[in-house]
Amino acid sequence: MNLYLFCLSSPSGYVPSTQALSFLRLSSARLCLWLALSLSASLYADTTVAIVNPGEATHPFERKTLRAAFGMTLQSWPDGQPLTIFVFRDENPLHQQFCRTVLGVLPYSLRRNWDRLLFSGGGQAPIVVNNVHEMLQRVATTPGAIGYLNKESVDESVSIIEIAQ
Amino acid sequence: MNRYRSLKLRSKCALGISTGIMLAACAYASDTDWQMHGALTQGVIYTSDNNFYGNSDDNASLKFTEIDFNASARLRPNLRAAGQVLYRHTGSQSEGGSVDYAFLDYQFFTDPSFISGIRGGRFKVPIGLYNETRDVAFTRPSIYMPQSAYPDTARDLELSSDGALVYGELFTNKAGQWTAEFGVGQPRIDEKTVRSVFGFLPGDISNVSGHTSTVGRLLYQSSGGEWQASFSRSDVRVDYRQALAPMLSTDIEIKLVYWLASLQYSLDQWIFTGEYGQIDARLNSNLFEQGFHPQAYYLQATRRLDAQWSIYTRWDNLYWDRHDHSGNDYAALTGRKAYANFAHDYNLGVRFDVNSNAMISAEYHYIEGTAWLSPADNSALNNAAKYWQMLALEFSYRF
Repeated sequence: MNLYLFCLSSPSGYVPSTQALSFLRLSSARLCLWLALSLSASLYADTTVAIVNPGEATHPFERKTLRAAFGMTLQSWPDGQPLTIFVFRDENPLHQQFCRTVLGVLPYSLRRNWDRLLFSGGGQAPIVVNNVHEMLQRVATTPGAIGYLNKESVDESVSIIEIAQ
Repeated sequence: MNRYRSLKLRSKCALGISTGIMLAACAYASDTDWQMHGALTQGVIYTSDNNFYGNSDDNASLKFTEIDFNASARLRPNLRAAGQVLYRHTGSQSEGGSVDYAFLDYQFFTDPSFISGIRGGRFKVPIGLYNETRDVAFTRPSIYMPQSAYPDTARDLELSSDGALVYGELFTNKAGQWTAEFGVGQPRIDEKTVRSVFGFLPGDISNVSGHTSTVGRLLYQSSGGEWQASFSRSDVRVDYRQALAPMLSTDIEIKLVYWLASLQYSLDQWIFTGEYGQIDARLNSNLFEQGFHPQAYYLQATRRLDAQWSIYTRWDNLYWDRHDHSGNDYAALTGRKAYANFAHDYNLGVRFDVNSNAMISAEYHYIEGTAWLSPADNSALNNAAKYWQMLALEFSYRF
């Protein structure tokens, strides 16, 4: 039961309601499996972090600002430096995790906003990278860049964004 | 006709200027600063009766093609140029290329909680949840837009406008994101649109010109993107010359106010959407006055089965006169069919996203009424069938 409570109250925050509903229908064996999976998902999720080019201030970010940046509506830093956003493809599990646990948004609603901006001229699309190495390299070498990674993949070439609670 | 030509000429000039701006911008900008995207869509329409997007009555019409190409360049951290050219062919109602938008966007205020800016040039008219991207298949809720709130016959009235739009966006941690936009400009409108929407008189329509019009929208999105709500209001002014008989014509001035309220709730696997709108239009000439009071609403439910498959259903309703839902008053007054004054469209659809660049969708429609049929595609509109069905297929590719 403690495990279950932990899953629901985990900092990952986002627990789809359908998952909570299906919980009621699960047999005890499957329940254990589900708890184990949820727990590991939560632990995995906790390790997804937003990263920033070290040239930019590493003061704590508020979630709203990170959302606006990844929503492609905030286009420059307060000091005037242009913001450049790097992401993995929509279907990449790390992208999905980042949207849900760090930004706290539905991944497809983010895509919906990008498309609205992209095809009405309201903004640009984020730049898609293909692998961890490329993510690190692009964020490290692009002034004003923001991206995200698994915490274990982060090296000293970039800084981790701390989110103010 | 001259006015139409000058409109076309103006479009060509705008195309040239925007292409110039884009090329100049690209030459100066690095790869993180400029982008090009586009989409290509081909549809097939088959109807049991009546024509939609071409000659579709008992026939597969392929006259449903959209190609758009856009570019955006960051010239300075707070200055961007953006433009899109669009080729669209939907039956006889619309065929040809145009500059869909081309503007400079200057953000004069940027803060982690609030941004504000202005777009000058040709900007997309922000109405409801979909109007700005109504010609991009990937962003539509179905193969064609709900014809109540977004009728194709009146599309040009609210498409894009030459002028300026100011905007402000407020970001909060818990109370979502708020966007306010207000635009002033001249709508791009031609004879065909005026004839489709206000063509109740038989004579020729000429000298169509759009006048200073306004649009405003307030859009709220909850922090997690689950809720979207918006209220939009546009005020469009158009005038034109209507021939009534040989040697007799009159100048008509249209004032059209459209407001639309929108609400959308999104879950992991479900999206529920509803929009409700009303139009009050007044035609004034020195010979007569005429009022129009249409009403439009729809409800749509979309079920996302997995990352690729989704199915949806919609109930869509349009009344040209909200005080005459049956159309009987209209029929008595004009001698035309009562059902020409309304349309109920029941729809079932399925969409398959092959990958993030390609998608296919298919739809079935059962329709009662002919309110949104285009006179350009239906020469004998008064003999159109009251009950009709439609099959639609669409393939779209984006890059």
